Amino acid sequence: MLDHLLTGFATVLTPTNLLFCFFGVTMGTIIGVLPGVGPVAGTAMLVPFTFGMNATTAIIMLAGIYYGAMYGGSTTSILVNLPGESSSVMTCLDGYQMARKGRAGAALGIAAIGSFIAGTLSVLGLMLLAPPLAEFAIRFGPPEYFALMALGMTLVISLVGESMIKGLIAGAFGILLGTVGMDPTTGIERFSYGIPTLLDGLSFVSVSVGLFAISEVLEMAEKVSTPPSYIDKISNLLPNKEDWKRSIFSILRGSAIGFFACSMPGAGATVASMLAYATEKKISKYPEKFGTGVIEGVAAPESANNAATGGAMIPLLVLGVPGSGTAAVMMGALLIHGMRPGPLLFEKHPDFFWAVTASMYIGNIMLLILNLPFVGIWARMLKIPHSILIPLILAISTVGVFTVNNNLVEVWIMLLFGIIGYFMKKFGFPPAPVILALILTPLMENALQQSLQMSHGNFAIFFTRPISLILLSVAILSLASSLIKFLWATYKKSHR
Amino acid sequence: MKKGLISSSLVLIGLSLFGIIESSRLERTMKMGVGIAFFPLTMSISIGILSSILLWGIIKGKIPIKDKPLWQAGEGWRVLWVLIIFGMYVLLIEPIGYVLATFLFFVALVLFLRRGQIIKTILTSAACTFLLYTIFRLWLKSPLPTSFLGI
Repeated sequence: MLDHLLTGFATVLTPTNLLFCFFGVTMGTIIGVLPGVGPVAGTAMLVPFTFGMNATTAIIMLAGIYYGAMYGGSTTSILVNLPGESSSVMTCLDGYQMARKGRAGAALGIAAIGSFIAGTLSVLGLMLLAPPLAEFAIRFGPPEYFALMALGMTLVISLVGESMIKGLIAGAFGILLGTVGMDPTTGIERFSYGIPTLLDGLSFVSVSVGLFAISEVLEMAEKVSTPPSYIDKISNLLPNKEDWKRSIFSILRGSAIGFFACSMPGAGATVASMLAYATEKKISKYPEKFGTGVIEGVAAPESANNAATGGAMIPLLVLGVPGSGTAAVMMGALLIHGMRPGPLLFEKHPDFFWAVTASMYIGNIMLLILNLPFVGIWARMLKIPHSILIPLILAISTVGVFTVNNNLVEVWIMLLFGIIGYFMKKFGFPPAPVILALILTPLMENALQQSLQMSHGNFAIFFTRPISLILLSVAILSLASSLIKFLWATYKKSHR
Repeated sequence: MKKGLISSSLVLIGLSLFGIIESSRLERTMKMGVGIAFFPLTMSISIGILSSILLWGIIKGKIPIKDKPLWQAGEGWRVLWVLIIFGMYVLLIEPIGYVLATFLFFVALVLFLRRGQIIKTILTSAACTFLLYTIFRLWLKSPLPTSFLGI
């Protein structure tokens, strides 16, 4: 393992990879700082930047954006009481209160150091867990893959969003979109209506940029923006001895919660940070003080949302099933670069996996340097008015999407999905299942067809093989439990 | 919000019907397996059933709905104008080229979002256009639409 890791470091420590790792974490920090632009939108928007790169450099950069956004999100939560992205919501509760009491420096310091420790521990976890899991998953055939993808999809659909029924509709809509283009087995075209761009299916870049970035821009455009006022007196970024004593176990607990919660598809960084905060409050000797500016209330959720990024890499890289919106975008990018995530990735491209892992160590160090001494610069980003940000995001998205196939049809598709995404958000339909389903459907359909060819058309193949039986049972159980919960809540409401 | 949700459910039911009709037209060439219409057909039916449940829940008041209008005063119009300006940009980008279209897009949108300050807007728009051209064309060598002027 150490040999592999050293090879990984050798790959990362080239000027190009270091440059793009730095570019990724910097862009991630900016995306995290700017309220309204989340990591999914940011990653999707910057995927076209990677078209000229090799797969390793591309994923080093995209992963940098992902975990960089987690670092950046804490800055606005602490200084403005405005979460840069959803996983930083919990940091607002105590972070902003600490800043109001003149302890912004300590809050930012512990957020950055906690994030660094959690990020590093989660990479360690990824390094230790991924190879044995891949060794186990290598036995998977098409039926197991189909079952695994079905499980990943149902977990994400039943866990995201405010309503299960809306999540299911979003997932089904995504699967329907995933069937546009040529059928993977027969090559017969479906729903392309003579439009050549649609023959290869809907480009995930156009759809994801539309659903996440354009819809966010439209939401931003609703209101006349005034730059928020923020606490700009930042001193003593290094926590004192007392802060350390109170935070260190919160950081370790937060790291464990974040990593394990996100190693399963469905629970994203937001859920992980909420779990970590709730755990700290529950075991604390002074739970009533949470929300008034206790340092554990910053350390735990910030550690959890950073550890979540390492955890999320396990289902993505080892099993080929993305567990969140950002992971789905990264999987789409990997497929564009000709890399199929899954257990075979370890066998065919071990250098790729270890380079990405090594880059996460280096990226975390870069982020610690970027976020501690330069925190004032990031805070100033908040002064960028929406009147500049909106056209900038639209123009970057347009060029990015145009470069997918060098035609404007992709841009119109992006605009269409921007409008769809905007209304989905308005009516509470989660967009993440759409993109996840869009990416997984061709792979899932292929696995289904192959499985049925193996069994001469007999569906029993999914229930006679133990692994696929277990995976499908869990998928059905998770869906059924969410459905029962929904029906029970509806019944209770009507009999109140 | 209730009217909007009802409309969205009806749109989804329409989508489901469209999907069912279109899927049933697909050839069933596969003798073995499920055929190419399986996924689109089952998903269209699923969308139809789920949307009907959603519609029923909304009408019967069994699904919680936020008690606020879809848009506050003027919000919808701002979004519509942004969409129109952006649509014009996409239409013009090929005939007049990336650089000019992007500059005009910035000027129009910044002026719309931040009334007044024309000189500042023109300078900001020129700077942003230059920055994007440098990043995409000169650094990343992305093929951008060019006009008869060559830019």
